[in-house]
Amino acid sequence: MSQTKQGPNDDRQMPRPPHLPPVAIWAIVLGMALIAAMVVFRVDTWGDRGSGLSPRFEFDVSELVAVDPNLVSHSETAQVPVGMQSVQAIAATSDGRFLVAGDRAVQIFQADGTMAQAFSVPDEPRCLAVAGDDHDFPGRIYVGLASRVEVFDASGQPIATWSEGLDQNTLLTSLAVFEDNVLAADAGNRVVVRWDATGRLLGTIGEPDAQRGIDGFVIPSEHFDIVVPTDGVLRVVNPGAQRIEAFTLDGSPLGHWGEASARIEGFFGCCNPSHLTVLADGRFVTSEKGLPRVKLYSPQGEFESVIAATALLTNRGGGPEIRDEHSSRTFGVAADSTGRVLVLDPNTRQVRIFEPLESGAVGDAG
Amino acid sequence: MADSAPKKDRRGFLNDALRTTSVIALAGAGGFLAGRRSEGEPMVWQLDPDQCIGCGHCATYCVLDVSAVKCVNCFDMCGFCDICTGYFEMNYLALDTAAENQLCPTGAIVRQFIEEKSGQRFYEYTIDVPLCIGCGKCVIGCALMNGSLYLQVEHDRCLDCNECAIAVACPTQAFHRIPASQAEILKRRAEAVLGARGRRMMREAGDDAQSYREGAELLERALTQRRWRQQQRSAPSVSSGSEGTARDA
Amino acid sequence: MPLMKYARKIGIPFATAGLLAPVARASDLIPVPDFTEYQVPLSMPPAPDHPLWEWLNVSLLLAALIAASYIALVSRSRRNMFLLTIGSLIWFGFLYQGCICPIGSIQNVVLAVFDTSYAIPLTVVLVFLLPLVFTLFFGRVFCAAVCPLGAIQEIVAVRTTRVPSWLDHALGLFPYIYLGLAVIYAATGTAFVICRYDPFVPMFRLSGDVNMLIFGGALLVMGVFIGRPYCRYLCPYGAVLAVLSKVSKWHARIPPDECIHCRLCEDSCPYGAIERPSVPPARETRPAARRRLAVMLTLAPLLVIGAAGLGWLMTVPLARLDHNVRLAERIHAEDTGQVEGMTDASEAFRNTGQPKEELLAMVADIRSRVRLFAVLLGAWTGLVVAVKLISLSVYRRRDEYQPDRSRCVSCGRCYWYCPSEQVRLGLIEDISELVDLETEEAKAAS
Repeated sequence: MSQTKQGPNDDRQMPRPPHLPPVAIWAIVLGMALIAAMVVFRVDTWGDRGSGLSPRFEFDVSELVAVDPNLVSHSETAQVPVGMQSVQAIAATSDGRFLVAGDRAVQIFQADGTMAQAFSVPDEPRCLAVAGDDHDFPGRIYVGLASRVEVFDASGQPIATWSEGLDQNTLLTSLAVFEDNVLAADAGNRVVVRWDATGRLLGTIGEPDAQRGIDGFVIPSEHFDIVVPTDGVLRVVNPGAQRIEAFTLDGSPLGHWGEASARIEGFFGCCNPSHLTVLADGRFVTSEKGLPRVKLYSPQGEFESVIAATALLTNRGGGPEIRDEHSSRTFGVAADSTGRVLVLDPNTRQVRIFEPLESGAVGDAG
Repeated sequence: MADSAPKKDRRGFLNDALRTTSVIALAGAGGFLAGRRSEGEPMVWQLDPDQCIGCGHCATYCVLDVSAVKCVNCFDMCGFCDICTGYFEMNYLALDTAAENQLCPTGAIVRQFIEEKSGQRFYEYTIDVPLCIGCGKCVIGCALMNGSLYLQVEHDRCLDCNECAIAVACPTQAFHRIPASQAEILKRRAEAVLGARGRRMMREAGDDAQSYREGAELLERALTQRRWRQQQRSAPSVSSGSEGTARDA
Repeated sequence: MPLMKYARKIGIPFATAGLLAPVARASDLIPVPDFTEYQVPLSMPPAPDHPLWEWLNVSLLLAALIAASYIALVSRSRRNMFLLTIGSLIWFGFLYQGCICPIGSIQNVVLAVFDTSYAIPLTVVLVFLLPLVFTLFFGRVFCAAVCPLGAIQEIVAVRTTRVPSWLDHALGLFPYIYLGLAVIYAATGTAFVICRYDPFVPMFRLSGDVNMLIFGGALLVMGVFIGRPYCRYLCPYGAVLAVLSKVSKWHARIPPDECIHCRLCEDSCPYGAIERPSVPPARETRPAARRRLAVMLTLAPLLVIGAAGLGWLMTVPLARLDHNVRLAERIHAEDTGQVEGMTDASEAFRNTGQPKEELLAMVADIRSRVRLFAVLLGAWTGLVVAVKLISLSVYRRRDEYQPDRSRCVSCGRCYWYCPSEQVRLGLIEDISELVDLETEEAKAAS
């Protein structure tokens, strides 16, 4: 087929204006295609390379979390899993058993960690206390719900509901029993309410009173713990002031201890400690939130040692985990008569048991 | 020409048929999509502060030079504390507003004295929005205590990218598409406290219709959040589905 | 009684509150200090005011499509088309800053189909549908002067060269595969890849990832020599439009009336969309052509099945775009010591204390879900290749110089080259002023 005429089948090139040589054009095009392909694969859309912010934008807690191993006086000896979705409160009895409240139930454990018994409560429990032998009704279990106290006998049978002295602003966060007195910390009204063993209101403690030198409690978050050691003096955590205040049961202030500090001997942040308990020998165990740590203080309030450091409680190598569901829950503490410290871990939903190191003396450890 | 005319017609007929089918199909698809979602409300990006870990990606992955993600303070969760872990460096020299004590690298948090009560001084902490770059440093600090500071997408700045670059880079996949009218995602705790405040306002409003309405609006705002979270749980979207099932499990 | 009125007005939230009680967990409530004077403020992020903005965009999209159709088919003015292109670039590109565009809207539509919890806005449905409907009737007028991505490439296409036909056909398959990828990732809710790798949106916003800016820049430099590289070899929406455009009712023609085969328009198209009149195959080659077609037709199902199998094998890499899969792989790599350190995502996961097994189970679940889509993607790829091979093996009769409807973007560059157009515009009296009509075709035509 030889066609000489101009027409559709003619493959001769039309005369064109001068161009860049095709080789140069294709070199540029290929180069650009190569660059395009390269940069597309360099794009880090997934954020794997981090935020790229300078270090001053990073929140570094490693210095605060670090604890001198010589200060650690206890070691973890056992872990008791609690079969609950959320655990709220822990209490120990004089005979070595301990109770855990959570979900809508209370579970009672033997000293060795086997569950002995469980009973349900009508609403989400917030706090828990067990009557001692010097109480009118030994072994009674007091469970604090948001705004009332449910009373159970030692076998978990409901007996009564107390709400005298509580109102709709009430938010119960802690219960304590001393002899015939039952005391409840009401974070909503910022007072401690006191009843007798029958639930009759005996008064409130801690309302601001300039004459008696009571400032009142500052409670920036829903943590407000109380404890009454065998000396019969009420110890109240004033979290906003980062200190522990002492009151007689009729409400006279007896002084306070504790200081705000990010260092190990102080209480960290705006509102700590979140939990407080007392050992049989009168020493205090505090539990802090934020950077969780459990520490031991002398009866006079001097820092003695660390029971559980942040790293141990959170298994955290890196930065702080701030998601509410993992961080806002606090580590409840209780101490039994044998000197064991029971730490309620809300994340693993375990009771973690700490016992003094064999060597005994602080300073030899590690 | 004789045989080309019918051929053309056949092709033309085929084209017509295909085109008519396509139009019907498109109309059907449009009707289906529009009918299924008749509210047809625009969707906007927002981050769930409960999933946020304050990693700082919001500050750098936003396509804007200065991120559309900013910190907000939910005052009802705030302790108004003197020692604010969201405001002060951990190793502060003094509890004052000197720059070396401030946690915020851009100085975007404003500390304002309110009053002294119960032996404590109370302060209000607000965000100077133009200065905030959304790095989340204060969010981590605050979360150690009350967690009232958290990040939110500011819609008047957000470009509403079809795929949010921060959402892709977010290590915990905290970004969600939400209806534009919802605008925010509250922390669960913020939802609780705001709902409680709304209810209290309604209870205490008495004859004050204005305050009653404000209380009702606040309660509705909290309930919107509750409904959204329930919907997230019950009908997990394909993208966040895996996470939803994980949490339910 | 304003109180009663308000009580009725808020009756619904009240009722809901009753249903959902208890609204608040007691432990969530934090007592705010009782300040003597200070009122605790409420903070609220500013509400988006987008609805009007979006509807304005949809109206302008419609207006631009109508204008582009009119210019392409009636007024046939390259100048006006170019002005419209500039206008679209300014509005849809630099002012509207890209999102949401019809190209990306494919994914919103797919997500809306597969994910019942995603409420697709009506404006997005319209943004998706309008260009499709216009294409069915008027050809790819959206690409011509409405799409900002097309517009930015259109204005740089000044020194275009012809892409060899084999390369053009091969690269032309990619948009369909990209479309398939975009659809499966949108359907699984994994990602909007089209938006993630949009080369020009960072330019419209004058900010963004530097790599993406370079990507866009490289495409633009390329676009000087190869007309519209993104539209032709990447754009998945263009792929859809190309198919629809094939059956468009009215499509841009090069000559306003009859073609005189003068060849003047032959090289006028920067996008290689002009097809020459076809030469009927010689009688002796017909059996070979028929055999080739038969081979292709039998090959097609095999191709589809084979590619589907390949898709099955690609499940694991395809699933890698999912956040959880990436996370699991990262955690595995960290645990086995293949990589050092942690990413933010893996650190966050480890901090939650969630067992690795849960994540792995989830990943297995995701992979099994992706597998189906991977097979479909494979089959789709096979189908696209098969259809291309078959269409290349079929002889189509063309009597005139005409734009290939699927590739032509109706930019109108070729009109000016046609002598008949010059006559139509009254610039010349007679075609013979421009063209030597002493050819058989011309004689036949006149």
